[in-house]
Amino acid sequence: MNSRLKNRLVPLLLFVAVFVAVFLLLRYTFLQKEYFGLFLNTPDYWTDLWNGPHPLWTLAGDFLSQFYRLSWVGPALTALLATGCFLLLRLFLKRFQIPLAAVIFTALLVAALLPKARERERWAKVEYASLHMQWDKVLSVATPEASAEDRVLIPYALLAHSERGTLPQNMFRYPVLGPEDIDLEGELTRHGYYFTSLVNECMGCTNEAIHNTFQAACTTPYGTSFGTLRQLIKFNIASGNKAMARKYCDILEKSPFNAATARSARKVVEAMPERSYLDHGPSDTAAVITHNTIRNLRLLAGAGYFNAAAADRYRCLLLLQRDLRSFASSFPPEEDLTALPVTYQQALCLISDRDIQRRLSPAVLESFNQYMQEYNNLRSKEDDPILPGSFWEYYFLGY
Amino acid sequence: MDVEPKPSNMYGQFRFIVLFTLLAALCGCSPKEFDEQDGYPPIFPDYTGVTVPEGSAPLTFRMEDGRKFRLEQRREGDTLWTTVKAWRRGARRGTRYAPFPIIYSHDPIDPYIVYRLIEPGYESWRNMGLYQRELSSYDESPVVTNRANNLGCVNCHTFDGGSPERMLFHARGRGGGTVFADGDNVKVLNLTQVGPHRQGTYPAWHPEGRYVVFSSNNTRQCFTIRNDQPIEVYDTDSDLIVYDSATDSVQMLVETRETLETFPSWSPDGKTLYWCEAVDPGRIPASRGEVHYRLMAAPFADGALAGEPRIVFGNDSLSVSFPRVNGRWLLFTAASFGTFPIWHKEAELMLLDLETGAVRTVTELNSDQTDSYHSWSSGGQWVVFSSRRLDGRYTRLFISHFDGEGHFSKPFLLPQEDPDFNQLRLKSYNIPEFITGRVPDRQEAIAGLFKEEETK
Repeated sequence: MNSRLKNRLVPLLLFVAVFVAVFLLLRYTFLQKEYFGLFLNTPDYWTDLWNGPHPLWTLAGDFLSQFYRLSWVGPALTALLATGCFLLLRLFLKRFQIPLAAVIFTALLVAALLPKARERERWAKVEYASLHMQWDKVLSVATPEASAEDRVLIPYALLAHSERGTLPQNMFRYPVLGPEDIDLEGELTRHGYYFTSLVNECMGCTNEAIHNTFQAACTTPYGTSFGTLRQLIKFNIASGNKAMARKYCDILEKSPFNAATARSARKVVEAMPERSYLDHGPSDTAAVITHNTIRNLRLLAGAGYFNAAAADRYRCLLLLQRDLRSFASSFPPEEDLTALPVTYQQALCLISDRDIQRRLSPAVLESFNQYMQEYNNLRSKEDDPILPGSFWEYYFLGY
Repeated sequence: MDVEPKPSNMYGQFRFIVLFTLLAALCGCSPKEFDEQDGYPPIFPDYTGVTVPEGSAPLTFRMEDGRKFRLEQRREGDTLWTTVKAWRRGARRGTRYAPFPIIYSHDPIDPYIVYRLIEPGYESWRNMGLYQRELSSYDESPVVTNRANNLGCVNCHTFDGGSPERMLFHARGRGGGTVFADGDNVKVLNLTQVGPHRQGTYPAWHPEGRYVVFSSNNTRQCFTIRNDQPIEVYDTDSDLIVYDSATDSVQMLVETRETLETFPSWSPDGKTLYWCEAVDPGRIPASRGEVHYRLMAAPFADGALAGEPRIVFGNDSLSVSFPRVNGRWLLFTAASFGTFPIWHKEAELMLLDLETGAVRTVTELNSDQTDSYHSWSSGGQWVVFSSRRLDGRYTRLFISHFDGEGHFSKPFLLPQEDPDFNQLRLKSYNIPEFITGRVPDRQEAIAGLFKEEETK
């Protein structure tokens, strides 16, 4: 290979290598960076930018962040930056042998990216997939094994199961320790608000979804972001608030790369009917939400907004709290208990109520008797689990 | 291989630019013919028929539907007649609307308004601050931002008689307290560590400058699951305290278990203290619909109430907040219940004639969205108030002229250099207060207070 060809080929290969590596390792990190990024051509944006630290550097980052919505842009820019650095390095340190420098450079880059980056990428992937309701993708990342290593994944996995209607069957396959694993109500961080917003969207609590989107927005440098603006447009369309949806469209349109999204959302907004404020005035009786998830779910039930996912979520929370009485009373008296998921029947087994026992599946009762025999012979928690993934395992052994 | 651009290419590019510019100019040209249309043009903001102070920043607007337009203006005495000709891009005919008046008033208005800018979320915020806006221009500058107190909350600003020299505001968070600024001197006082150990909330500075009455509120909020009113803010307890700036001391002024007292306000002579009071029904927020604040008054002298409180106005169908007296007139906000009208779409401004006791809804100021916090100019001829009429969520400021006989002119939106600015701004305007001059820059001194607190 002549040296001229080598001079051109090595940077090209480096670009490709870095692009592929970053695409595979950090694609979702960039997508989520875009969600919380902001570049708007509005007076307030420019004022905040110039009043903040390092405005020019920040401006460059903000401007580029809007393009990360395309999954290849972040990796391509990183590859470009890496190649540029390499070329500069080569220019100033000509005595370095090129292939060696390339290898060292790439190795250093990859080493620097791993393993923290992989953990961040995994979070970003479940966040992104949850936002887009890609529950299979969430579950492919947030497996019981991965969740054992990284407990942050558990609420996302349980949300995915809840939305697929498989929460009771699968919850105890995960290393759940208590009610805090099903929601992040107490997690007053950007990620906590992000997740709580998603949960409330899934439960149909649009007000609370908006509230938590606002909360997440307040954790960003400008108090808003591309992603939160898009979510606010979506929620305000869902709740029929034309004026607010239109406002957020107007603002999002000031981001060059989001302008098309904003314009197409505006078409939906303009087709919405106008509402009279008199129909939607204050209410002194409207159910109010709190930071207590169980109470919120009870209120949802009382207010008649109890979809199947919310019902499962409520019952599973009661199981995590070991509140078997409330759990049992959440079923109507005429409910066919044999048709319930096995986990639910396992919980109902533990209630000393003859009527309930009589209505359970004989197979579950038999299994319970066997379990109790083994449990009575169990010596310590460190022994192998008796029936992994069962409610009894959680109830008696705490995992 | 780098190649210098050929002259012919440059010429080609130049020709293209000239052609494009000409085409763009032709497309943007106004039509020659216009259809006459009765009625004022649909413009945003709606400045048709408003009364503005002489010397106010120019009122900029655009067509509501985004059409291009041209203005013809002529001034006749104190009235500026504006004719709008509007057309769609590329149209051969446009529309000529009836000329609308803008009336210029010589009644003096204070040169600045101070307000807080904050995201209208419910619990958290990022950047917030107190800002002053010069009314003769579009100039807005910070009085203090929450960068001074480590992104904590800054709120409830008030001025001694509208003077920029003497002000106070609360700075919440670590090392927080009430910041008093007097000329170049600034200090922070944690009211919970003096006197009755009660925190200060809504302030009212006595016209003579020595006393400040605060309500001391234990404020909570709750969120509705599915209702257009997303939030209700309520007090579980509130009383009145008085701060004496001569002795730096705090005393209880009104303290009861059965009632909630809030929103203190002074008569212009400082001899009467007004406030709002509600019977505490208990179990708030479940019972929030039963909370109706009434307007109270009592004589005040030497740092204490000098007589029995009396009910000035109130009934069980509305709740009074923000009483503000201007001579014989008292302007207040009325909501159907509760103490936080900004989240009540039905909240509107009402005017009480203190001489006759007559109360009326100020229909000329109100809208079908929240109309709430208001403040009189020092001369009493203008009022600024906050309203959510643009979109139902982001509070904006409107100014109206008052004729002294109980009538207001059509309010106008605080003008901005770009009329879309009000739509694009993602912050709400809180607590607008007129002041008689520019607040000196004390940001460094105030930030220093919190650095001192951090190092303690």
